[in-house]
Amino acid sequence: MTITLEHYILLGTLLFLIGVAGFLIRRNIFLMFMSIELMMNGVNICFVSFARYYHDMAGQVFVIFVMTVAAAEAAVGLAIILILYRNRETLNADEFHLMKH
Amino acid sequence: MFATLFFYYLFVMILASAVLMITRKHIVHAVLYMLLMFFHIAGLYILLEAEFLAAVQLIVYAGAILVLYLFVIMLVNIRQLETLREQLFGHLPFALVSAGLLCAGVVGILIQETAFKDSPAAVQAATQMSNPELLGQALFTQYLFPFEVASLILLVALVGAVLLASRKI
Repeated sequence: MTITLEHYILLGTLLFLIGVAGFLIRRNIFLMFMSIELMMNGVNICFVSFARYYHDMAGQVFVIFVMTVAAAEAAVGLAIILILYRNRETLNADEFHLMKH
Repeated sequence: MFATLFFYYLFVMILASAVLMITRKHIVHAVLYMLLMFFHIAGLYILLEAEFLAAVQLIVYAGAILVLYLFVIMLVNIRQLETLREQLFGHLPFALVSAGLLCAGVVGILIQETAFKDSPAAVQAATQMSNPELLGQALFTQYLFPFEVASLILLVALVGAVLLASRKI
């Protein structure tokens, strides 16, 4: 019983789906951000397993770019959360409707 | 045999810590479960012969991004976090429908696609180079321009974050 590519794809997909579920069911803005990281990690697992099974380094190179974007996203996103918290005193994503008015 | 057992251990631990992460009431507990998940993903990268990425996973994700999250969580009022009321399953129907659609799509592709077969006799990197060497060679020759663009993205994020956090908006 060997581990095939499908096993890794399944793991990455399940991780991505858990991230989607977390993003949709939680209202805590921090947890929504962390769910995005979860989705990115699921995608990264798929990239690395493709790189391993097709012997192509492009997959691993792309994971580095995904990590770059994740770091940038965390920095900017958390700064925005801080500003929202300073103005609104809440962390519930449902109460952020500044653009509706 | 050992690799198989290790894979299933990582499989269970990654998914379990991810589920525990998105269901925690206290945000710091969720961050700690995310740390556990990052460590196991690093183990998975080692299993996939991507040693450099395993190290980067620990340094960038567990070392930098997670600490950034913890800092920001401690900057906001932690008591506010505890009193944040949310019904966990208020959006469950919507979440179930969209996750189900996504799952159906991915499974459909996986069933249809027959090319996803392990081909050990394929190319089998003829060179004796280690993983960081191979990665560096790909990154600094073929992917040099995207690499520079990535550095620009980081610069923009840095300036943007400083600007956003320092100014009164």
